[in-house]
Amino acid sequence: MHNSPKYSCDGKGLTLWLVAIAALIGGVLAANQLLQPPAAPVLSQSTTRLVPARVLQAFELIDHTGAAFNLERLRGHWSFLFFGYTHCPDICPTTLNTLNVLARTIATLPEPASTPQYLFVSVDPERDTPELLAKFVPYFNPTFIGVTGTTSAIDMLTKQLSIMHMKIESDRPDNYLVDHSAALLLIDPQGNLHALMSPPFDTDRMTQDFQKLTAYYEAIQ
Amino acid sequence: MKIGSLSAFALFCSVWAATAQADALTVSGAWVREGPPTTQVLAGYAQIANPGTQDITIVGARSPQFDTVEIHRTEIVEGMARMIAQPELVIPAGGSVSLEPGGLHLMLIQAQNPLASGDHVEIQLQLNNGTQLRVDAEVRPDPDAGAGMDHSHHHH
Repeated sequence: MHNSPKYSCDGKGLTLWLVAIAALIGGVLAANQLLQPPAAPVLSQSTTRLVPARVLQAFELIDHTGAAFNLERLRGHWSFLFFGYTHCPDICPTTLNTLNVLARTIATLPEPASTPQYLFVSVDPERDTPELLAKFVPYFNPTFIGVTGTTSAIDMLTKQLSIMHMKIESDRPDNYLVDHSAALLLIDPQGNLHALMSPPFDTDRMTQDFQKLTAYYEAIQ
Repeated sequence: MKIGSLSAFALFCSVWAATAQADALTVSGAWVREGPPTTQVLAGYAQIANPGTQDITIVGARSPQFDTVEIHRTEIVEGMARMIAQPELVIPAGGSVSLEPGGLHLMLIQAQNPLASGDHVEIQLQLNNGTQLRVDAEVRPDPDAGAGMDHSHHHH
């Protein structure tokens, strides 16, 4: 008769085995949970996340205070970009007012989502001097920044962002119109084009989408 | 026959007056959005109703306080925002047309003097029946820019 107490399946040994197996399974599950990337955010229909985010090339523009505005100024924080022009009476003021409401709502979110910058980029650099932007953009919200530059520098940025703009010649040379993309763009803290939001703009929905995008971005860093 | 034609003319006049009365447009809620003090262009909005039985067409607009007034419609087509000048605007019989942000609006170009909230703008709408309709529009801030959060549910 051979008896090996070491591997016996008496009550005590069996319990130890079961505990060991349970611990192993639990450990594998926990590790799986930790290694699993967080689920991509589920956004409203009007928000599109770019996968991967689009890396932008350098550009040299100027803000409404006359300071240089380049790629560096898009880094380290989130940025909302809207395109328009100061001679635009309806859609641009309407959108800037909407952005003001959006900014106030976003300001109530927890950090770091609460502190994006808001940029109004001119698609009419011929008329929109920094001085004119300084009298226009901060009127809607004192933290908003107007951006302009040479026509070629503006094109350099808008092309990368797939933003279209087209001057519509009229019989009044001073009062031409500019057709332009109505989308709102979101740049992430690495300075990459991260998402775009399409009109009609619903600030509650946009705030929720922005919160999801920033939370996901933080989670995968 | 002189008396006869005179009375016919008088009858014509009274009928014409009655028709003109019945065909009047009613304008309500006219306002001009306050802009930055230096702004070159402003937008005016209103509800224009036609309680009459005949369509009335607005064929032009002007204001003594602006160089030019045009009727425009903002459209967003395939992601592009553009403004389309409307040479005329038909207010259908028994119907109404709403001029509102993001849609139809009066484009007020080059104010003679800067305008601020509380100021009034006189707008003259020229109608296809040869008459003019004077509209008083108050300058005020965009209601959407207010503290309220329930602001974006009136898009079309």
